[in-house]
Amino acid sequence: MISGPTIRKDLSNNLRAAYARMWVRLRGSNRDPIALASEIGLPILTIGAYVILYHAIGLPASAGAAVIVGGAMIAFWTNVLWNMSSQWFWEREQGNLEMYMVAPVSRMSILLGMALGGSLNTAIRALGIVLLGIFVFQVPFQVRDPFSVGLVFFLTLAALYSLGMLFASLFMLYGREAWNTANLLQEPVYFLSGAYFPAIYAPIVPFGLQVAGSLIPMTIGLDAIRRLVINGASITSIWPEVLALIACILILFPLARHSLNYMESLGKKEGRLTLRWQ
Amino acid sequence: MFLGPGLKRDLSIETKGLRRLFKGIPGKGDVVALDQVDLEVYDDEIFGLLGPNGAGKTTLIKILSTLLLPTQGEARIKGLDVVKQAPQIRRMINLVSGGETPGYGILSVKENLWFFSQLYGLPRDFAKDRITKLVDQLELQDYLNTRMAKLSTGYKQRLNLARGFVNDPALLFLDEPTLGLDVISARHLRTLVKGWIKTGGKTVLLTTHYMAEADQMCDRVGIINHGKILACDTPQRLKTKVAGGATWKIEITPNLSQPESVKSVQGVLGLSQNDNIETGITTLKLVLEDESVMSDLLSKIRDNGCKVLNMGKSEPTLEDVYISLVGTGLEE
Amino acid sequence: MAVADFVKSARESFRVGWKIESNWTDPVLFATYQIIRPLASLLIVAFIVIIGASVSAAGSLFYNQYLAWLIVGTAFYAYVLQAMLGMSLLVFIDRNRYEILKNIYISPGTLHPYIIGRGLVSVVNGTISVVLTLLFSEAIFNGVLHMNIPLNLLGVNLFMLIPAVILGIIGLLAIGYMLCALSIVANRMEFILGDSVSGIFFLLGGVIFPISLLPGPVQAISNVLPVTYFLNTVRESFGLLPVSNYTSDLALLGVTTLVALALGILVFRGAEQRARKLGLFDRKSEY
Repeated sequence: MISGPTIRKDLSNNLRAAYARMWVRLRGSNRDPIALASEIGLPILTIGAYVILYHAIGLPASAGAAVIVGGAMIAFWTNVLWNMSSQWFWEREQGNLEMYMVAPVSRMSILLGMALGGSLNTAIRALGIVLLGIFVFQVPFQVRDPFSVGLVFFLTLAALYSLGMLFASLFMLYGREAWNTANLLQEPVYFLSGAYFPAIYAPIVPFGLQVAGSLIPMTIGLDAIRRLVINGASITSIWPEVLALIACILILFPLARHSLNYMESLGKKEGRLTLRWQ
Repeated sequence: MFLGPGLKRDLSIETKGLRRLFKGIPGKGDVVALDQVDLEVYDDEIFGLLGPNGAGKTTLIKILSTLLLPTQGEARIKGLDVVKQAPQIRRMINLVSGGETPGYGILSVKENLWFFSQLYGLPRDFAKDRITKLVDQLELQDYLNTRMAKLSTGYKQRLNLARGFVNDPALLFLDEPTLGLDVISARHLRTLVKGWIKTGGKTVLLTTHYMAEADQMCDRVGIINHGKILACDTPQRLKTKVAGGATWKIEITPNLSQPESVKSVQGVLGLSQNDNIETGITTLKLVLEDESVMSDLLSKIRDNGCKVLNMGKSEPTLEDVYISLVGTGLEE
Repeated sequence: MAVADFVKSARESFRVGWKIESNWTDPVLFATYQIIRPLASLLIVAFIVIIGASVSAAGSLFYNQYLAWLIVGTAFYAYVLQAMLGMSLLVFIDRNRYEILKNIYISPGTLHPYIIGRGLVSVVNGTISVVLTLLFSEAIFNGVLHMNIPLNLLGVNLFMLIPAVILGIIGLLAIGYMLCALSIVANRMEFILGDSVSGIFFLLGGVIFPISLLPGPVQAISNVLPVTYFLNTVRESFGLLPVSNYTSDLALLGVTTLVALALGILVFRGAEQRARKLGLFDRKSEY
């Protein structure tokens, strides 16, 4: 039987590891100002193209606000794909995966650190995107319930990064497939989540597409955030989304943990944990 | 320091019938990386695994460091099973692989070491002290704030070694740690490891294919080839076993056109040949059962069209041990 | 270097590049991979137009014509994503991951045909994406949704399309070549460079809206980009823009491509000198 102090020590060690991995991510990503500027500036190019397209086809200005929120949320999706899902692939290429595997901490704490660091980093960028978007495109926002915005935003990120942890676990043994799969998932999720649409749950959007999109936590969270910050909605009208996001977290996080254990054990069995240059 | 078979010591590593197969090319069957490996490594010793590329050294280290599961057999670290008790084992070990530099290129030496110290749960101040000490020992002071990506190969390897020491492991796996290092850096690294083991309660499992490194550093050496441990003892005792036969050094010119014909002479246990391109002289190292085979041997050398320039008995080295067990030199 | 040797090196590089790009999976999944990204991008803009049609007073004819215009623009933008971005990432892949850039550089006269060969792999990938996207669009919007979009794939004027595509590809490869050179000398910029240029082309190249909607000074930038004329001439080949502008657009595509080529060569020479001076051919980006 494991004693109380051992559990406490294990927990403390894992928290230290998670904090350290978060610190590496924050330190590494913000050391380069050009990268920071480009991560805020580049999405504005795409957002700008869609705002002009909306204008060309006669959609109202609030649609532009929707695309700015969508563009900011896409920054999180891109981060989840490239810095979470395929992260074990990069770590293995650098020789770090081996070190994580021989260290006396849970791999989940490393993933948690990556997720915390990634979400904090991206939040800075997303805020930059929104502010720059408002400044450049002069679109209207109305926030009546900031607490709900914060809550939905937090739940969306938790669900999204739990999905990232699940992907990271599933792609653990991937070689080039990790890179290609991340590439493959990028645009389809832009489409299915309705990030660039004025609204994903509008009646004109086919029901099948809405259902498929709802399998991605970002779709649910994005719709709720848009309603809160563009339409001025309050928590009373978005509680189904809040519950759906909580359900996503409760399903995805344990699933990520199970798949991580399974893939780690498979990797050890097949000798693929440390196989590089695939 | 090896106390001898009479004195019972605590085991750091113990394997019984360890076997590991890998999937081979389709249609060719599985590749046997380790085959019935029985090994005992004691506390407070530096144990060397000596073998050519593909002998199974790294596979064994991967299994012992919980990175790979064995196909069959048992492996224990400090009495703990590598399959079932991996988390407990990880608290006591660390791994340094030569030619690899784990860490993040964009972070400095200090930042990388701090990060790795946190994977072992070292409290902040304690970690800081440990890092300062390691940086001093490995002479990394001038590079403390240099990004890892900007370090030379030698300094990257020093950082890698510092990372290996960061949790002060009871058992350190060094997988070809001097690979690609210059003579001075390699010597520095060996001195450090030897000094570290003297602090007590430590064990090192070192893999190498440098004979002199194994001879100089290791209390005991295991010779491994094709996944099997062929011999395991102190370097001195292994040499004595070979000295029971005869080790000879013969200089010839040109080199042997058919070395197999010499190897096949009855009583020849092993042969290695080393060509000196500049002088055109080839040095044969031979391990013989006894000296009665010498006349047959010399006539075979002459049949190869070679002229014998010089010959004499030599003190057995670890290389001779290796030649006698494997049949060829390590560099061939 | 003899032309035969150059062609041989480019051919071998193409062969290796093709293996690297495609042998991570089976051919069916590879083809799916080639289509999914551009198709998803197309569906995003198509649905925006469909949503626009549902709330706007403008007639469906306008939206159908706009959709056809969008489909062609988005489909051929795949060349930007594949050919240009593929080349910009070449240095990262070969220097950081496979560590062979230095060996290619020191082998006699191999670097340029090598880059061109690898670039051509991206062109093949881009062509697969373009063709599949056009076929799927026709099947979805006209076949399944019966939207009567004025897009007749069989009615395309190949005599107009082929020169436009060839010149456009050369222009994009020239820009990819420039990005490739910049990646050699820049640290941690491989992804940013490619994404920046493709983002600028997406915004200013007339991919999803006519450049006339851009503010005047910004239009001036659009007018010097080869991608603007590339998409114009391609749309003219499909009869989606007035055919009368084809000759002038093709001429402008030729001129901008030539400028891109000249710039590409100049930038590459400069980058090569700098890389040798600073020893960058085997330097890995810090990550």
